Amino acid sequence: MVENRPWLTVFSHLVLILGIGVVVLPLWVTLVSSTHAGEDLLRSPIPMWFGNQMFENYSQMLSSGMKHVSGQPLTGMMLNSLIMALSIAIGKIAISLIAAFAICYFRFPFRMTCFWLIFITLMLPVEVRILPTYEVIANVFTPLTKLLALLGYEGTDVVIAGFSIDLDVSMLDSYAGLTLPLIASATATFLFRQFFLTVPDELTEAARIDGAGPMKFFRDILLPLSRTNIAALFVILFIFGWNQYLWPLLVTTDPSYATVVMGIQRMVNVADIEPQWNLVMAASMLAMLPPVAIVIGMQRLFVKGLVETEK
Amino acid sequence: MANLQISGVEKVYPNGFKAIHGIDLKVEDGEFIVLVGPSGCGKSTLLRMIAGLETVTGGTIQIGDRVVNDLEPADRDIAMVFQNYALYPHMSVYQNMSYGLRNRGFPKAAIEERVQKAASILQLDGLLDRRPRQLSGGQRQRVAMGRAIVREPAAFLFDEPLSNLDAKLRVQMRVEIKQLQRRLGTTSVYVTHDQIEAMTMADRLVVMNAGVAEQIGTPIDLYEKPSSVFVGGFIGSPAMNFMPGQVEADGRHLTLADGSRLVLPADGRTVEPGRSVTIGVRPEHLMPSSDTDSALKFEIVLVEHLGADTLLYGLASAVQGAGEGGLLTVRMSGHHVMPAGTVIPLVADPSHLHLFDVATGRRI
Ligand SMILES: Nc1ncnc2c1ncn2[C@@H]1O[C@H](COP(=O)(O)OP(=O)(O)O)[C@@H](O)[C@H]1O
Ligand SMILES: [Mg+2]
Repeated sequence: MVENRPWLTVFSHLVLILGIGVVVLPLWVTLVSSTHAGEDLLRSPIPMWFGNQMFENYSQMLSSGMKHVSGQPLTGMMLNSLIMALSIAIGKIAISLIAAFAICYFRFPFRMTCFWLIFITLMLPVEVRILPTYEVIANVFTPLTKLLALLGYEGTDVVIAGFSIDLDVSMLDSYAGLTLPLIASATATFLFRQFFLTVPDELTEAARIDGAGPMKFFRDILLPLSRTNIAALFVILFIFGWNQYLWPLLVTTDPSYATVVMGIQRMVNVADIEPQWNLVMAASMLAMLPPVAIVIGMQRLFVKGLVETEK
Repeated sequence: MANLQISGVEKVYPNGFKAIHGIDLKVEDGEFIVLVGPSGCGKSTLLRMIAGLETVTGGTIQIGDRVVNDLEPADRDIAMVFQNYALYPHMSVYQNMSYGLRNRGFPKAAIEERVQKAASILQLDGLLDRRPRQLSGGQRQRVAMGRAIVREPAAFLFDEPLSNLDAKLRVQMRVEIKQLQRRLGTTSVYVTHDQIEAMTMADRLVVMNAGVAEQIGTPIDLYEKPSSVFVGGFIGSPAMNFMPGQVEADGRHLTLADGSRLVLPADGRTVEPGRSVTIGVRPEHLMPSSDTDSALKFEIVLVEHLGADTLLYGLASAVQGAGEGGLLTVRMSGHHVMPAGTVIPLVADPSHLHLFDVATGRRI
């Protein structure tokens, strides 16, 4: 739309500047606060320009962490968050691609049932099914023992051919427990299915005539065509995974599995003393870096994936 | 190179719809066959069964001396050119053309040689590194052709390959495809709904109607001896005129609905006197006559000047239609200036009258 009215231009710029201000101001305060000593931030007004404690604050967070809060360096938590976010993003994309491929390109019994089952899980994000999911993660065999209990068999041991099998495997305090329940969801499957449906049938048929079997077709044609969608989804899922709070809080008690979001929360919720805001802000800045890096690094593909339909 | 034999082929879609009602066709080695018919008559279905993209629910399809009913498309030794080209968008022209060969495990050098050869035949030399979206419609079409010819298959299958091109390019590509096919001598089956494309390209045509092969023959055969009202009306442009008539007692004349008379061809065919028939006359076989009594009355509505020809559209009460009569088309060579409303008497060239059974529409 091309409009040539000066006051409209001024107005739209004002709106934009206001919008940017709303987004940028908190970031600015965070950044500036992270460069001051703790006392500076307790006085009002809060500083709006850089202090001289930047190096001290950041190096303390990265090397030793906050003394009275677990005393863990942030690096370990960042690594945990990174592992969690990457596992969720990669795991979800991998599983969704394969599931969507199966649903769109193969005819097998109960295909539509499978699709609808997957689709229904869209309505059940982790927050909704958090209790049963916790129970399953606490003991992977919960569904089985419950089933056995229904059939009148009590207890968590099963004896098969003389071997006693203990039906009690816990995934609490493990990376698997952190990530698996978040990987299992339908959004990505649904998105890939919608994308696959837009791939012309003729392309599939041309590949068949060219002698490409199903897996070859998947690898040589479908994956490259989904490239931009995968990138866009990766960015979204990485940030989704990185920002997880409730679930990690629930399934991890061992501090060595703490994620950075949990860590920051603990730094703020200290008893008896004032939170060290300068350090909290430094931690926040650090916690923001990986998602920002991912967005910037994949920006071109990401935007393409959102707007372009390359066919 | 191979011939292609289709025997009693039928197709029932999973939803129970019967799209092909038993078709027999023998395509000689190197022949260019065109399947033509209105949209939805089953052309694509038949072609896709030959390609192996649809299952064959009855009859057999034989390529060379192999029955291919149950073979995968890739194992049938065919190549197909699709309407929307179906080029792989993320691959370069070179990769598009070589993909099939790579999947078959051809050595690199052989692939290179075949692709280069095809590219030079199709004038794609400078474009091998481009992506499909960087090509024009005609170039994409050529790449699709290239992908087919590098395979050196026993048969080419084309499904309306030119319908996405503009009119001028379509005529040009039509000539190119035909020349290429001559040069390679590869058996080809070509699907189109465009009867001009069909007439100009085909060695033999198969006119299809509602899943049935109405007539199979050379373009001239079909034009001069259409086996049914459907074929007569479908082949030729402008379309054949049809009118009801009755054979007179002498067996040598026809009486039309408006009382006018046409002379029957004296080619020895006998039609029983008194029989009602459908008469087919092509527009170029109707001409003005001086005999105003028994000639067909034709009132001009519209005149089209094509340069070499003049087309007259008008009403004649001999043709069934609403009110004062149905539409009739007359083609005259040269220029003729005639105002609308002029009534002219017409006679038909007796040697080019086509008679069809009223009930079945078959040629008598
Ligand atoms: N997968 C299908 N299932 C059911 N009916 C189909 C299917 N594909 C095509 N048809 C029907 O079969 C008939 C022939 O289709 P097609 O061969 O595509 O016609 P065309 O001559 O236009 O190429 C049409 O009436 C069409 O509706
Ligand atoms: Mg078709």
